[in-house]
Amino acid sequence: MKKIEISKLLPVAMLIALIIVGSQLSDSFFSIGNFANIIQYAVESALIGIGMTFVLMVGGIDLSVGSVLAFSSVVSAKMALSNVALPLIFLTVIAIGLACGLVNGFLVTRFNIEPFMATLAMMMIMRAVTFLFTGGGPLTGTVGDSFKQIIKGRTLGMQNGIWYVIAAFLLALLVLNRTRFGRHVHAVGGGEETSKLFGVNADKIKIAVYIISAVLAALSGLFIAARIGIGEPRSGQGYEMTAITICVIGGISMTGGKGSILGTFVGTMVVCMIKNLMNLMNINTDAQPIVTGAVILITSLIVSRELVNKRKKLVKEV
Amino acid sequence: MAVLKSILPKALFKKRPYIREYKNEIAISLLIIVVFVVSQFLSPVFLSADNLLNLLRQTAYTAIAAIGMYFVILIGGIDLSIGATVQIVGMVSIMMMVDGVSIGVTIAAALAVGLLVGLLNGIIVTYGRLQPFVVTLVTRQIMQGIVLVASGGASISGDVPDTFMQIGAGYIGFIPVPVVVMFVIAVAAFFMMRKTTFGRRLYITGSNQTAAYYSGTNVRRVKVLAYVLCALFATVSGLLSVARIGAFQPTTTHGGAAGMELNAIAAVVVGGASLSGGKGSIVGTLLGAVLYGILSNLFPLIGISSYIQQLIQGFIILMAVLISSKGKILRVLRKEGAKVA
Amino acid sequence: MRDVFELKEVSKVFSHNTVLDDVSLTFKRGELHALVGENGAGKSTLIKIISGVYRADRGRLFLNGEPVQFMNPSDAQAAGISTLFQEIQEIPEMTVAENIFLRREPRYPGTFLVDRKKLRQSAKELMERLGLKIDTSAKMRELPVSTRKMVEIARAVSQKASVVIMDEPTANLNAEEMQALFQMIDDLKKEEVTIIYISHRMNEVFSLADRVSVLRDGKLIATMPGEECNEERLIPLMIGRELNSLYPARNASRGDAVLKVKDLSLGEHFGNVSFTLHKGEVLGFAGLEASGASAVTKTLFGLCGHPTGEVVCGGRKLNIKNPAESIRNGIAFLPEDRKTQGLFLNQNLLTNITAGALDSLFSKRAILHNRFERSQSGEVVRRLGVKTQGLHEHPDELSGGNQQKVLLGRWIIGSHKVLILEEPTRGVDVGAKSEIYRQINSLAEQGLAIILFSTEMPELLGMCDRVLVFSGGALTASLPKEEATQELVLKYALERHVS
Repeated sequence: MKKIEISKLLPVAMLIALIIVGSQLSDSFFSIGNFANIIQYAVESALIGIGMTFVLMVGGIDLSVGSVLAFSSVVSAKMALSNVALPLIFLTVIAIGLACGLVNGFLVTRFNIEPFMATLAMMMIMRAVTFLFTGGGPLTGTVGDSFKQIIKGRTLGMQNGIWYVIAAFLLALLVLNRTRFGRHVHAVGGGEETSKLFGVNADKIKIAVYIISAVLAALSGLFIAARIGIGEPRSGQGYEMTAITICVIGGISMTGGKGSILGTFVGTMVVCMIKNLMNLMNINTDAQPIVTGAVILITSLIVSRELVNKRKKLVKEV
Repeated sequence: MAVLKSILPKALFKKRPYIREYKNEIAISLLIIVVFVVSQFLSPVFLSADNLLNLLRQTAYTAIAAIGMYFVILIGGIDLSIGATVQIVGMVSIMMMVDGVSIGVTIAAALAVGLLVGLLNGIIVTYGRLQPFVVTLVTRQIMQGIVLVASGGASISGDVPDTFMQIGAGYIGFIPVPVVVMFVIAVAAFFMMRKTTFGRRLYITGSNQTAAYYSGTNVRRVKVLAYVLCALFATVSGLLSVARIGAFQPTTTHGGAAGMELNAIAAVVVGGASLSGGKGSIVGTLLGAVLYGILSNLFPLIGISSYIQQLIQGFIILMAVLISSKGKILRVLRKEGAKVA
Repeated sequence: MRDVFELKEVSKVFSHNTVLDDVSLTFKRGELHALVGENGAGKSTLIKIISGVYRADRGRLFLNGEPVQFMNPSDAQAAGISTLFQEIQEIPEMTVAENIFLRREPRYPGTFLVDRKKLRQSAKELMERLGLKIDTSAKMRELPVSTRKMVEIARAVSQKASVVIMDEPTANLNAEEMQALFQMIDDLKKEEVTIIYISHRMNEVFSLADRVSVLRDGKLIATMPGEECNEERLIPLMIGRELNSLYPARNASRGDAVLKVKDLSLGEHFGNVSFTLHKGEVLGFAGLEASGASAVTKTLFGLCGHPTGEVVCGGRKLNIKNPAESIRNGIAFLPEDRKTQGLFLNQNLLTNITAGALDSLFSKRAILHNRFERSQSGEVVRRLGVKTQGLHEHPDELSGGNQQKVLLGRWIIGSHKVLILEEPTRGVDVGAKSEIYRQINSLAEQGLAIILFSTEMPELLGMCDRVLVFSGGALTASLPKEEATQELVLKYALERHVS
């Protein structure tokens, strides 16, 4: 009989445990209304989590997502405040993501900089650019109703946010599992040198995943701007940690090659439910990072332990 | 720096091979002199005694933390939590001071907090086999949370005894106390790296940890100790800076104490270390901190806004890492060739 | 038969070593061309140049008469050259089918979507065609080594390459799989595919090869038809001198027992190993992959955790736990891969030489004795004849042989009782080889007890007083120098061999 891998069961077990515990702790937790609410507010986390999944799959990391989100958010708010047409805003946002992702990808592949360092520097730079763009404070004014409807509107009776979450996960699932590109993302993460020998252009794949991550972050920025109706340069802080939490809980390996979008989905749900539950229980928002931080550490320690036990190497690793 | 290195005549290295060991330090020193000379033309106040002392003091905070960071980077790790460590140490010490606890106990408590943080980072990284940047990002997040909860997000101030303030704001002769502390720490660290077995073990662990293990080094212990030293040095830096103001201000954004890790990393990397470990020196780190200090002192003087400063800081880090990884590319190529040879 | 692939005056130099020196070779359509030579003769480098991993420093390549230049492996593949390297090239987390068709995944016509059904189907068909029983939906990491090797071979076949390079393809295969491989090779030859074949197993080379080329020290020595080959003719060409001269005589007399090992066992790796090692003795450890030979040496040095059984060294019973403890007990270890396990490439020679005795010799209360370090390591460099500008040099500036001497120097310092050597001459040129052998002899003459683990049979037979043969995790024979022959060692090595 095959040994059961804890790391595979962990995400679902956590989700179930959370639903049970949640409904005990708070009366309003277990209701369709609350779940719809959770998903509707999960849009940004879901998008960034999906982006991070792609990046982690090739063994990278993107710490710049929060700042890219902020920049795109203030730019789209500014455009909305000046009544620019929606399609143009969308295009600009995607262009921002594309540019940032391209820079990250180039720093990592062509310049051979450690991904965490390259994207950490980008995180600083983009945050500074965001503040420079707004001049420090938030951009306020009245935005058009159609802009707010991007996120607040309903389509076929369901909040747009929920549609976005569903669409994003389905699309990501398709891309990662059913396209050559997606298979090559798996391949590069599972063995970069080998996939190069097989003729996969690993650098191109890596640049592409950083672009995906940044574009999704930029789209999240647009959604945040539509939600709050202003351009807040401080938005998106700590989102890189949210994304990492989602992926770690979802069983995406931090060293590449292992993981699935379904894991990311469960991870997103777990993270957003924990957040929702903590809000329902009136836990101080400042204390919430302590809880999620502990969750990341414990989860990744379990997974890493299992990995070491599984390898059964003759020579004990240092 | 790469440019400067290439300017230095090759013949110099050939004749005196030991100069080659210090080529990084020589290059940065030259760069510092150039920046220094240029600076006085850019800003008339730059060379004033007041500003220079201020510059030295600012440099001291970064340099002390950077020396701690150097140990961690040397062994191929990274500590992104030192800014949060500085915060938590600052908060604890001000709280204790305001509550009338004696200075000795306060400092001991602060160091104990630092020790604990370092141990946690080190043990989770080495025994849990997790990536250092992830672990320290998480401990950073946790500590920031603790600081915000404990302080209620507000600044803490009150009756802080003068003797405590002297640690940060006082002078020995005409030299600010933090600068003196920096020199003491730098000399001690220099001695440790040169003359002790632990220093040697740090070098060899960073250079090749498998080989270090195979030649009888307890690699895990060395690594944990590196993280402990890093957190302790950050604690010292935090104490010196909080004692200067005598009050505690929590910050969540980068810049201020929360951005400390980036300043320290920049100083270490500018000083010739490589993020993959095994390279760099105490003197280089110190010089890196000085160069970094001069630049961050100069920018406000010539009227550059804080956002642009942050932007420039980001670019400096990128440039520094870029230069150090250029060397790595060469090494990788050489290694690949050697595999068959 | 027309020439399909041609190398003209190809040379390659790595730092200080000329690995390939002016090699010109032609490969004909549909032939199996075997390359033979000792380790370090340049075979691997040659195939890495053909397959686009390395680029030649000088010389040109021609494919079907046209000059070609491969910037990377995919260029070579696109030109129809597939390579089976010694290490299996695979993505462990992906399935067999996905590995075989990586970058050639079938898609639904007119879409971007991968046709997974067709992918599985094609993989299954391929396996059937080749007569292999392999579950194509299993992940690579779940399969045994030999199956993974067969998958890789199947992949190469499916690529319809015109040249297939095989580097030790039979290393991990059992008899049945070998038959399947030889069948595949026959089929490939019928389809006019050129096969470049590297193997240490001479019998294989004799029975398969149409032509054989011998490389030695980076030079092409001879090319001859396969049917004219036999061991008597090839081996002198490969070694280039009489065997005896390479292994200098030793004057060591066997002294008291230093290391007594009784019933040493470690999980699934080996069990009930007992032997005694004497002062001044060189004891050879022989065995195929996973035989336990190298696992025993590693365990003795404390690299594999706690074994069961009894180990007595110099009269003291040892509690084996880690290298630091073993070194304290007088056991030193020269690892097989000097770059990744031995040297500190960016530290100076002094640091490299004294690293093994920091506590015991070079410090007092954790304070280093720098002057003593300098004088001692200077002494070692002189004694071993390391060619260097001085102690400030870094090992990456030295040649392979000198690097190995530096590592040997680390364990000459101090009062060790047992020295374990793993593949001490791997990747070292012949000149340095004999010098290392001389040093081993002189250490034995001074009373050190030496364990020599090597996969090079002539080295074991030439150097050791006694050879212990391992197979399937057990000690199967202890052969004194006089009795040990290649055939006998191999016989005992295969006794319990399972792959």
